[in-house]
Amino acid sequence: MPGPIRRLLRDLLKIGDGVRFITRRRTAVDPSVQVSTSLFLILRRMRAPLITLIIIFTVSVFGLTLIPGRDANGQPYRMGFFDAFYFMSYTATTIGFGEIPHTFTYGQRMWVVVTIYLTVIGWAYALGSLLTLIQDRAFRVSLRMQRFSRTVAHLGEPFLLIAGYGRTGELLARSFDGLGRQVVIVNASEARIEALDMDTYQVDIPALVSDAGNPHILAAAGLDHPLCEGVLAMTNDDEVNLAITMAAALMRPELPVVARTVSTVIADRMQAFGTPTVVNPFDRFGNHLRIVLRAPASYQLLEWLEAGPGALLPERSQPPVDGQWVVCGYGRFGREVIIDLRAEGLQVTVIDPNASPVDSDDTPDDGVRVVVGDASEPGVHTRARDRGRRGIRRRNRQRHHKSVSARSRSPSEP
Amino acid sequence: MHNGYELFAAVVVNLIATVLKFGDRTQIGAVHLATSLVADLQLIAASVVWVYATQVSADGLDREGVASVVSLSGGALFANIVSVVLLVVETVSFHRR
Repeated sequence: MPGPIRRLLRDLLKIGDGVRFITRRRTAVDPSVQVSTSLFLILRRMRAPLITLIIIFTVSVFGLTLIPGRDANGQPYRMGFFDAFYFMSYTATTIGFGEIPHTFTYGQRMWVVVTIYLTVIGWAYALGSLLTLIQDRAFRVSLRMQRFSRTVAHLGEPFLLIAGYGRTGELLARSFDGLGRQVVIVNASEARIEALDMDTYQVDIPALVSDAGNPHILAAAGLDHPLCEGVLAMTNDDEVNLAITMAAALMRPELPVVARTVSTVIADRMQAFGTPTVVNPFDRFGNHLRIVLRAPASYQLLEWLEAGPGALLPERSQPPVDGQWVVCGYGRFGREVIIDLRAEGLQVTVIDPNASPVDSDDTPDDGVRVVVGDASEPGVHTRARDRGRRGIRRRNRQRHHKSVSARSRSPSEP
Repeated sequence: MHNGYELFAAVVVNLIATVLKFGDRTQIGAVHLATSLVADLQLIAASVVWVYATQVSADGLDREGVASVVSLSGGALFANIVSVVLLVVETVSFHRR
């Protein structure tokens, strides 16, 4: 670069000498590696059955043309190739029209007996191989993959790539579909994709059952497509979301990526690849809780704007601002909520069967009491009880419950 | 007079050779399969013409019929020669990596 321009750039950007501009280059993925062709599978597996069938037919037809027959006048004749082939065709497929062109002599019939057993078995073998092949799982998977990548390649409008069709993915897909935007879905579990098939959407949504962390799968799902507008990594596995973020940053650096993770470590690693929007749902819930407590009107507006076009104005909540809060469950979610509640200056009591009263390094400060016990037992609540307490429940992951409800208790309740 | 058995033998051998070329995903494999299919087509056409001439047509297997059959078989022969030439060239230029 010429001297004055370099100096100007250096002054503007405040970078030192010897720093090179690192250009973001796109890394290409070879698509043919993952996507196998079903036709080649059929052809390859049908080789042995077809050759067997051809040889059996050849031997039978050849024999039939050699053995002399007797026509209606008693004169000897020899069957032509076409007659023999025609006869063998309907014998092998067990159709059995009859002996043509004249009734067979016993010499012919002896040979035909041999050919019947040979050709029927050969035909059944070839047909059976073909049917088994069509039902083969690998074949069906490759067929589905082919159809999926062809559908995605032919998409004519901008679309979003959603990886993960859990509850979040489903909500997003519905919202975008309601807005009239095309989405493409990749999910690891087959049951969810079958549910997607049954659902009522405005347009057909191409969906694939596969591991979304594989960059070849993402390429087939449209990451390389010029009309892809963004990637949403919404699987329940943080490592997979990280892999998707990395693949998107390498293959399409300019594409917006939204990734979900509940771990701050993985969130940091995600930020190292491009500029994804990392959403920690537990953190967001805590933030929303603080907004509700502090400014219910703002939360009402937030809810209304996030509900999409045409939504009705939601009710303004009257959140309980004072009193003691009881948090049942001290997992990752519980910790985040407690941090936010404490930041609001509220008293918090934690009920958790695993937490010790004198907790480890991440013990919150004095405003929190820890009660050890199972939150579904009534006696525990008595211990944690205080006048005018409020409660948030979130059962532990071990019990496979993820329901969150905010309850408020009046002072008169036991 | 031409021998029907030889045409029959040619058809059978060509069909088996075609099936053996199935399922090859390389470029040269696809080319070989294509030439084999061409020869297939020609020989099956020759057989059809022969059956038509002997069984259906009023004139029987006359000179024109025989000429058709021989021409079509010649086309199959040419396709197979092309395939052999490709194979020889590929084998000669094959480098062990």
